[in-house]
Amino acid sequence: MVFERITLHNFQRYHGTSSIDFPDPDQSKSIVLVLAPNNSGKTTVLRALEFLLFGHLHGYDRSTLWNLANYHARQSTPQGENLSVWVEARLRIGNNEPITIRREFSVRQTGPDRWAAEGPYLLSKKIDRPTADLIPEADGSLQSQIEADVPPDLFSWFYFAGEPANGRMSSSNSMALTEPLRKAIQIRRWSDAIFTAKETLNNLRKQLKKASESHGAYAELLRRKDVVTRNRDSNREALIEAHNRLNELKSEFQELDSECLRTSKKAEESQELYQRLKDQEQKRDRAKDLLQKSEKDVASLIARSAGLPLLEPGLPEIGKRLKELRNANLLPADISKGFIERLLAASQCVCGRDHDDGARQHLESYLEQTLASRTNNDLVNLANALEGGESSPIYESIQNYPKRLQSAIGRKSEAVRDQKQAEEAISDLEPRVESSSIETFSRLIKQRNEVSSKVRTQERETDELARTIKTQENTLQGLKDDLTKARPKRGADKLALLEGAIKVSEKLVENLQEGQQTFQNTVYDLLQQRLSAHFDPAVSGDNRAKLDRQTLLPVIIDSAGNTIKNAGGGETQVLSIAFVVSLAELRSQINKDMKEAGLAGRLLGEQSFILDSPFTSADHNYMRAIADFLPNKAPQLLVLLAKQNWPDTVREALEPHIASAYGVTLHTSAKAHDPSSFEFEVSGKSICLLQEIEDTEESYTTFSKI
Amino acid sequence: MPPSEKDNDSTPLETTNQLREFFDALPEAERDLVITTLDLQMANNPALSAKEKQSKLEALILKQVS
Repeated sequence: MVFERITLHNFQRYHGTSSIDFPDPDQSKSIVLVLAPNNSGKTTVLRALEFLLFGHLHGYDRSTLWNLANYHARQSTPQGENLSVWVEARLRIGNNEPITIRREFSVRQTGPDRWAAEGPYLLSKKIDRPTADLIPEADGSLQSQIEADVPPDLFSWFYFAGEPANGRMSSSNSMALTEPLRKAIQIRRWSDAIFTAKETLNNLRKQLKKASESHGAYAELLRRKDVVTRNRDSNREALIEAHNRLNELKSEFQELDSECLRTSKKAEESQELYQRLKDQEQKRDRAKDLLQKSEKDVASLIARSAGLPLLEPGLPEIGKRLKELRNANLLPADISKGFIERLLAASQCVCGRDHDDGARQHLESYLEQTLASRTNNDLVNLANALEGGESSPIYESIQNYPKRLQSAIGRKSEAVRDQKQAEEAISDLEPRVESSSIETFSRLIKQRNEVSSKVRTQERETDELARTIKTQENTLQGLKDDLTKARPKRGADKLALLEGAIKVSEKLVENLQEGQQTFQNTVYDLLQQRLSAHFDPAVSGDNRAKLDRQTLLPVIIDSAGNTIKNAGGGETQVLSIAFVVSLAELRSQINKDMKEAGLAGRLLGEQSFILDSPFTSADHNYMRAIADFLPNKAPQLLVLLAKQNWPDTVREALEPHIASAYGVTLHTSAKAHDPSSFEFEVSGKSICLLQEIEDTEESYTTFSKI
Repeated sequence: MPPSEKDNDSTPLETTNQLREFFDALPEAERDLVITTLDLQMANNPALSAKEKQSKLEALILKQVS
């Protein structure tokens, strides 16, 4: 079902007439945005649609229907006069042409604070013109069409506040949803058909039994045939179960096998990660050594320099001074040397004693070792060294010092950087190596082999049942031949007719059972395909969506195939929406296939969605993820949002896909509210959805296009 | 891995045609009967009780056999 327009007239909070126009389903922009302050009537839109489609609302009966009429409209209607209340839509049911339908009732005041309602009635335009009259529906066929397109049980799946199906999809009581689901996707139709065919078969058998009562031999053959047939039927049902079990096991095996393959690749990746960890550890150790060495070099250079580099600027002056000393014959300062030499040249000491060999040796040694002498030599050497100016080796040595120091410091910095990089890489790699998939792989392989063994056992059981059935069918064929031969002449035609009808009925049951299996498997495969295509790329990590074979409802599984029961951050909401979108697509496809197969039924068309506050359970990241997920998931998406659900991230994600936007203006006493909570930013505009009215009046709501 | 880096090459949404193959494999008379029985369960036959559906089907089968 897709809409062109929905109009509310004096319905609940909506005073007067308010309409929402929908985009053409073929248009690229599919979203109709409705921004609304809290408690202004967002959910009323859903209730209005439910009322329009089905003519009733939970909590309202005939005696309280008048309460759905807008307060202001009632107050301004004179006592005894009728107030008309209605919800109208121009919509497309299935693949039919657009039609205008209206659900209307009237309200009349019957006394002080007493009201009575008449209706509601379903009306439609028989001629598709704006001026054409709305005619009440008499035969219920329009209602049937509506309910075939939107089954009441599935209303909250396509049009929901918060989560689809009132959030029950992910609850433990999900089986309660399976029956409406089976009905909606026509699995139930096959079960019902099998029931009808079996009832027919049983009745025909009873008739044949009764007709053969007076024919002993024939009746005995018939009895034997019934026994074999019952056994055969029982085995046939067991075979169907066995086939189902086998298919489930095969599917389980295939999933495990694929997971084994994925995990084995991850195990290879783990090996590579381990090697990278080792490399980084070596790199870190090498950097550590280099750091220690370069630190030593720096320390040594600083120590060995003895501060000489600091003297560099003074060296020319020192050289000049030494040169002056040399020219003045003061360098070498030979006083001490001459004095000693004079002492040595004399045969006696100044004290008058003769110089013996010991004294002479001592004086020579003194001459060599004296500090004055060494200083003298050093100063002469320095003077010589400085003699050549800046080309002298001492200059070169001093000038190279900064380069050598810089180089050592550079090696140290490089070692520090390498060590840091290696340590960062190690801290990244260690947990990844720790979570190595090798253990998981081993567990999965074990599971896979166990399931493989179960598959073989199940195959044997299935083959055995098939062989037994074949034998029983051969026996039955023999009995049928015997029955034909033993058929008494009296009443032979009737007996032959019943035998033939039973044969046809048996085949019908068999065909329907086979068809049901084919149909169920097709439905399961198609729904799973669609669900995976919508959900898997929309979520982070390796989580995937899987359809439960029993409930046909979706669950989230992790990379090891384990069900995740409490997926956080709105992932469950993405799953639920992905599922209902898949379901809508599947229903349309099934109907098309059934129609093409020659089965009666209306073709279901495209399905629109109305989502009221779909971010309720989501954290900030998943609000964005859900907002990114929504566009183009259905031909029309009406999204109703309050201010807290309209942060910048959501706006950025949705705005490019908005076909039209509406604001729900709350007409109320401004005193009771903070005006800032009514201000919204949309399409670069700032709008205020608060309209002040008198304190005494009850608040009401209107739509306006933004 | 962020969603954008995930494999976005979704499975093509095509019917497997298993259902059509099933119907095509049935002889015409059997197919008609299967279709008729399924049609009896349609929502536009809500007025029919289980007994009425069975009687209708039985009459059809007997007519086909006779």
